[in-house]
Amino acid sequence: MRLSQEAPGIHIRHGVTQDATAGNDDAIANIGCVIGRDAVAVMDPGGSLDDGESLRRAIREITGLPIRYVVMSHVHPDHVFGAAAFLPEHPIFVGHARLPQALALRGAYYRKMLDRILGPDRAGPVVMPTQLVRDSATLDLGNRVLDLTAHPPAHTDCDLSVIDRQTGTLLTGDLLFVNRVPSLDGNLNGWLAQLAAMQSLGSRRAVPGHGPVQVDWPAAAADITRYLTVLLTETRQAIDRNVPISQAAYTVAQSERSRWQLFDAYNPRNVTVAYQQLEWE
Amino acid sequence: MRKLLLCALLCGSAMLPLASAQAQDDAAARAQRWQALRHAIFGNRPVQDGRDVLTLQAPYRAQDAALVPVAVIMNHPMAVKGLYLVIDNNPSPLAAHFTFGPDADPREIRLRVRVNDYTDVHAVVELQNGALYSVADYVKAAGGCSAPTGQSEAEALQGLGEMKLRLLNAYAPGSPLQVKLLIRHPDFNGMQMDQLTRLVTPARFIDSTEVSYNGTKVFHLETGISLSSDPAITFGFVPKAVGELQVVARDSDQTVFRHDFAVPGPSS
Amino acid sequence: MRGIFLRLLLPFLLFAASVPAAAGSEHVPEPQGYWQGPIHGPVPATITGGTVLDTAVLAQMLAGGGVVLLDVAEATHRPSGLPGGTLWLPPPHRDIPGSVWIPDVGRGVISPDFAAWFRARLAALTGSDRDRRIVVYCHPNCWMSWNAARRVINDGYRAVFWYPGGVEGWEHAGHPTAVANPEQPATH
Repeated sequence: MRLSQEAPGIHIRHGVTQDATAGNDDAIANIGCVIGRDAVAVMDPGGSLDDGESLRRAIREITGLPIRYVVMSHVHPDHVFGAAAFLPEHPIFVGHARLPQALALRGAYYRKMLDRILGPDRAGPVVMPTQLVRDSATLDLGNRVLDLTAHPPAHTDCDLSVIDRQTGTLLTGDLLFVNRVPSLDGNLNGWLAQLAAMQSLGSRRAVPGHGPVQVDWPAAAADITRYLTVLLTETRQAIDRNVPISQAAYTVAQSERSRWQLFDAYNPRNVTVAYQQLEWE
Repeated sequence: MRKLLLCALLCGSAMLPLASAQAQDDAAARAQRWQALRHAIFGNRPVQDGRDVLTLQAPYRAQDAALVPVAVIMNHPMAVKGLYLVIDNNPSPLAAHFTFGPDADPREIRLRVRVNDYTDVHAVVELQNGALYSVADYVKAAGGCSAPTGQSEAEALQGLGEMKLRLLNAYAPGSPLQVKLLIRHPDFNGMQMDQLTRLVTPARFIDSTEVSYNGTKVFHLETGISLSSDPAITFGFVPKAVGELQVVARDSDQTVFRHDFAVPGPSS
Repeated sequence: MRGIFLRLLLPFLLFAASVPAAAGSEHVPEPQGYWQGPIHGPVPATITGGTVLDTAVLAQMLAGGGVVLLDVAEATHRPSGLPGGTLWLPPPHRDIPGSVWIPDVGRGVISPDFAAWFRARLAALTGSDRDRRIVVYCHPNCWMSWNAARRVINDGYRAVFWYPGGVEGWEHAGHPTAVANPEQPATH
């Protein structure tokens, strides 16, 4: 695994823009770590047991400091199914206060599906967070503080973002997608609101959940904001024009098609989720 | 946030279907399954090829197996008594059974259903003279019944029984009016397990919906656990004058939800 | 209530599973007797008195013939709360072709009648040959097959194999499956 140092002490592994396959170990999200004077925080442990194990070894090649925290940005398996690889380090697993419920409801199902894709038993067990963040929290790595924010429903209902005070870097989890089409599994209006709120935090650089490992902030928010706004506007229009949900899935947001990778795999689902949320308005 | 789309949304992973696809594609197995279901539902009554009579629209490859939109369209106006929707490979295959009243306009019916595995879907129309006609379509989706809910039981029950009606065309007395009825209900199918408590959320689902207009029956609909949560039913009727569309829905816990909608008034 | 369960189950969930090459984890000890806990979860990497198989070895073994294949996967149960008249017809269970499917015999506790019936069934399948090879399986991360294999070993069979990969492991390797019909004692 190749970790690149995106800022002093922040090391990120780029996730391939693919869906999970047996060949990629579900290493499809940007994951990495922040290293303080005394300890390390893992920023999403990866997509599978093998992915997590690779991250752990890569961290060990850089530092011998204890891995004190494993931050789980949200419930999706490409970000958190590597957690079990870190159990021997006895870290504190940190997650949104709603993450345990999300994992309880979906974890075994995700595991079963990942086992089918990766091969039996390569997904790894579900690991629950032990430190829950309700609004905000700080993690101290020794002369290096991380500020965590628990967001109301946006990309999912359990999104956490992190700011490294030392460098001002914003690690967004999947609140930010770049190049890869965003996937909606939370609340569309909420996601737009959280993106707007995150732009006034003063960070100049961000690490998105998918896309290049480092982007300018808030400039990088422009594309995803545009996509989500088009999704919102055109889905509302489709509802008002009585376009049935099955057709809307293929007509809404087509102007965005050439601007995002994996668009055809995810946009129809995004429309379906948005439609169900908006048809009650 | 009302609902989470689970079947394959992993932000990063379009999951493969949960079931083994190989067997479900076998034409002989599918035919055998339909024969068993036909007999279970219709006994010895003949069911004829309905390709000239009605059309079934379903997505070939569904985006979300827990929400598969299905449309049944009559090819010509006919005296229709009832409509059955069967999802062959679901464990509870009879997804919906409509019986229509005199003011119904059954030309276009839309529903959202759960699909548990790659399957044939059959729509069977029953004419007033008792004749049965069926058409089928093949849907590739899986996991719609076993996929976990995205919310806790308590969250899912919020707003239980709220309804909304949208008029899909303009009202004119004596002219057919298409409407979409939305009902808030999680339709727990009794197969979803909370992995932490290891408790299965008990089945609780809308099992009957009676719609009338100014006191005259439009349709009676029986549904089961193959209907998606938050049912959205598109149907037609012919209002002779302004009035009220009355909806009475009941769930398997015997809870009754009533709502009257002024037609053509503002839907709410 | 949910919080209590979370605290109770955390130690179980935090079992340090090593990166497994095959199904099963070296960190899950074999229980004394039969496993009485939740059916789904990490399983051991061994079964005393028996041999663990991976898919490749199982395929070779079956190609040679003379093996009793015992599937102990759970059957789908009708959800409680489904009205009596509702048509309930779960699609057929599929497993390794040539298997005998006996759901429930992998539960932690089974009735003496069921156990006696099972022993008689094994005798019939093996011709009472205690050296006849018997392969027991269900699904990955499922204790039913481990328990059932132990029952078979305790019944004195000397060539018992446990295939933790299960139906999914078999399918994943590209092997065909077949529709199965469950067996159970008449009074079960």
